[in-house]
Amino acid sequence: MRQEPLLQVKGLCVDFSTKKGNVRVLNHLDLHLMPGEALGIVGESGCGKSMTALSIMQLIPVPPGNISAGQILLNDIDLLQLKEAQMQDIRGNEISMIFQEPMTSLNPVFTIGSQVSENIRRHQETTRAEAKEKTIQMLDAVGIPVPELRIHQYPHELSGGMRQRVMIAMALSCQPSVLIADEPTTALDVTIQAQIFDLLRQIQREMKTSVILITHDMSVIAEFADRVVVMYAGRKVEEGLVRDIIDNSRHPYTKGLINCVPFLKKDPGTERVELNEIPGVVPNMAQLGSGCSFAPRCDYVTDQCYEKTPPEVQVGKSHYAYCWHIEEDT
Amino acid sequence: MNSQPSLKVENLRTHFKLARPHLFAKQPTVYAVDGVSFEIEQGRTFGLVGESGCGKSTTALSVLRLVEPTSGSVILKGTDVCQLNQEELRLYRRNMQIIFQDPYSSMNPRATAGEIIRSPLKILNIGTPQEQNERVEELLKLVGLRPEQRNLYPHQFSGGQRQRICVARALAPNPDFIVCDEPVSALDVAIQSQILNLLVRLQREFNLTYLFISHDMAVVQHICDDIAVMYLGKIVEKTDRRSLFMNVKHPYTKALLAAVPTTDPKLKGSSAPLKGDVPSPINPPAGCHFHSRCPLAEARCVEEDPVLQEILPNHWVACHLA
Repeated sequence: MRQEPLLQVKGLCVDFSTKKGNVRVLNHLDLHLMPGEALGIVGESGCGKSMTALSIMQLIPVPPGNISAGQILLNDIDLLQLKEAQMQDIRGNEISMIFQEPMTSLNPVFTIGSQVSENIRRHQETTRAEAKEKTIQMLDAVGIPVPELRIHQYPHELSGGMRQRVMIAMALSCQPSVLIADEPTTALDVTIQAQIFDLLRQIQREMKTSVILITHDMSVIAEFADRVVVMYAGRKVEEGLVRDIIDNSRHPYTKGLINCVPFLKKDPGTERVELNEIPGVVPNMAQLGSGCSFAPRCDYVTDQCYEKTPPEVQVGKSHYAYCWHIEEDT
Repeated sequence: MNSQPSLKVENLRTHFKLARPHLFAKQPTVYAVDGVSFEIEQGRTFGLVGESGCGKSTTALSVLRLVEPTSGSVILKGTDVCQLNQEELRLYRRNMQIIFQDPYSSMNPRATAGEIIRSPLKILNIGTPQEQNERVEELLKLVGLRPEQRNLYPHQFSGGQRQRICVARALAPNPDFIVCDEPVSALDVAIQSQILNLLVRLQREFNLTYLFISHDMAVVQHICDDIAVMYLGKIVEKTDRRSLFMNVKHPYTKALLAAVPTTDPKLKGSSAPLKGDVPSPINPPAGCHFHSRCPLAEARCVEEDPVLQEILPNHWVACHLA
């Protein structure tokens, strides 16, 4: 079945002006999201994955930030051409976002009921009573027990997992077509993380919402995403279906990222094996050259890598890597 | 392998008394650590794992007496740390050091890396200034930094390098025993592996004993020789690395393992995710603390607190149904 992508990001460039000059945090980024799909964006801190989410939502502080090139198409409407008032109708309605720290993204002085219903009343023509009923329904749908009482509580009265559920209820209250989850479980315990992912999976199935999941954790991606984009220093380095990326990654950075994490094994064995390391650190974004930004940390590096931007190489059906040394590697 | 226990913790309890909600109320108490016992052999790594609020960090701090334990004993190389007076304890600290979770907030931002690494030597009066200088240089090289970086301040280092400085500081007085309290949780994935490998390498080189606190099962599986799982101030399962993962007994450990995301779909356990949150340690549920979330709970679990029993050689479980 051939479908049109729901959301497309084309050639997106985002610059930040700093004291040390212009820093390009996103460099000609292309992405697409199919209807009903879960897309994972993975990378280390500072690779631009959160910046991608904020650009789609247009929540980048301008200045110092600036979207200098590209298009963000939602159902063929370029979000970058919209006025702020039009964008406000889309935010929280067509595209919603949940953030990493639920405590800091909820307002501590309003009850959770008023915060969820605010979004409903902003985007839908409802009476107060209808909005309240919808709020209770949403809180119930995300698994909050006794929602009729909970709507009168303040964020500090809830646990971390419950707060994240409130955030999800708020994000989903207007049935958005795209949900962006930026590290939704990083601040939570593993058992609570498993609950939240079960919930997101159920929502994705029942409401047919497309999800963009941003995380640094490859195993979370493996469990949740259908397709993965690996980012490094503001660029896409590899893109493909989740099994292709995990089992058959082709870019040296993706390989390093997968091999350096200890994964839970059924039989840990008696000997302790040494973990693989990616030497060095993430480059300073202000001092990126014209070549491949991973070159200084790469095992396969040649002179070419430092000089020219790596090409897109198709290595499988809908599996692409951006590297000069893909062929030699197989 | 040398099998003499380097550290022996017996029946350690740390309770925190809270303010009374009103004048005649019973004083509420948090049972943060409630009767924890374990032993670590010289040169081995003992892991404490559990959700936030289970008391794993409080256990670590109580072992070092950075938090005063309420009762129990901590015997490090034959000395009961709990019986030492303040001055003796201060000097004894050269044998036991700690690496914290967040390297930035555990260093003085106005001191250089060299001063930070040297501070334990100064406080404990180890060596002449000349010797201390040489030691700092040696330590910097040991943890993979360059000696000329000693004059830089913490903010000039990356997260991974900062954690290396903390490791060097912990190693400075040549301790036998180091507590690692979530040493890699605040670091990026690619940097985590560098620090974990460094810790393993240093352990081999100096025959160090580690108490390793973490909430990450995969990291614990990778680095620890023996592992204890904690829930609400108590150890619920304790055994060596292999039997914990291959022959898991306690329903809480099973749930914890099932919740860990894996890259291999074949490994996915069938166990449903745990419902609800960790109950408050102020009023822990009666009987088995885990009964409120346990899928197997019976009437007996609500009434009777299970004791930690050795059900297989060196495999201890606190559960009526194991």
